[in-house]
Amino acid sequence: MNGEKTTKRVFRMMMAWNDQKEERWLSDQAKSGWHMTSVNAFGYTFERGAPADVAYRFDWGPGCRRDQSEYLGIFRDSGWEYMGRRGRWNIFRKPVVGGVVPEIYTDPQSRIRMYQRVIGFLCAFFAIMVGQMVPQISREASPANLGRFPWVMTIYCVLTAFFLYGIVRMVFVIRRLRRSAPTPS
Amino acid sequence: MSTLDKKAGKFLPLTEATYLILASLTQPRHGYGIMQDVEALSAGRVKVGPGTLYGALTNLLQQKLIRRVGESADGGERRKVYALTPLGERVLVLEGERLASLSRLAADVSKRLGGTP
Repeated sequence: MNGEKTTKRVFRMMMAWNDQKEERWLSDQAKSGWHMTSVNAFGYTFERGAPADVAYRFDWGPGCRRDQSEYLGIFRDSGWEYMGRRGRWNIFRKPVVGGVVPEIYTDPQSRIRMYQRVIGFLCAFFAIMVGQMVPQISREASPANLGRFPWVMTIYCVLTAFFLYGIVRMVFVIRRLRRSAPTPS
Repeated sequence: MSTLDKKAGKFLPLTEATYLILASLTQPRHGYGIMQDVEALSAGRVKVGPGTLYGALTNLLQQKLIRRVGESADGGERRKVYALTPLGERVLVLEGERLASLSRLAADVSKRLGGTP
């Protein structure tokens, strides 16, 4: 181990709808001996240790901070370690014992409700963005701007496509869960 | 039928997790206490994860089936304590009656099909 790095920082983008991909990636890191120590908007910091089987879970937590200590308390009491937030995602981890992978959502209905909160957030964000875009687009469309490359329009188109893609992805995740959950909520 | 029963009837049927959470709140408990009791009530068959529990508590508070009755502070950690409201009690009783009549039917059906009732 002499001279070998014991910590590493990884820059990593995360899309709001890729929570399960992040969970798997963090678990794979733990399997190869890199254990997450902190998280920020740009990525993760890891510490070198023994390879371990650890479940990481992302939860779209409560909107109001007022309830944060009760929320985190319930996770802590049931053995989940709070690792920090990425945007609105709260990250928790718990060791896998005896091959039993622990879950924070234990029925499909409650998991569906979590993804509905994510969609609600994406839609609200999208609506605000469109509200900002409309007056700008009408300004851009003035005759004085004819013949110039429409940078602003291009950026807006990309952003719109990006959000619509995210919302559609979430809708499909929920549909898949619904199919596995025939009982009413 | 009383207005309380009419109001309570709108919440039926409950999911299994919701029924067990309400059943555990026949006496006031904090969040983790509910998780442990649900597992005990169902003889280890149903485990409620913290995400599911927190979401359920938020919904049940909004629906006024449960309320917060204070805080417990053991081991330096403060935990909110929950209890049933009168509406929550009615929902639990009505769902119990529904399940009991289903269960009588189930025993009868099993007997007719040659299974153990």
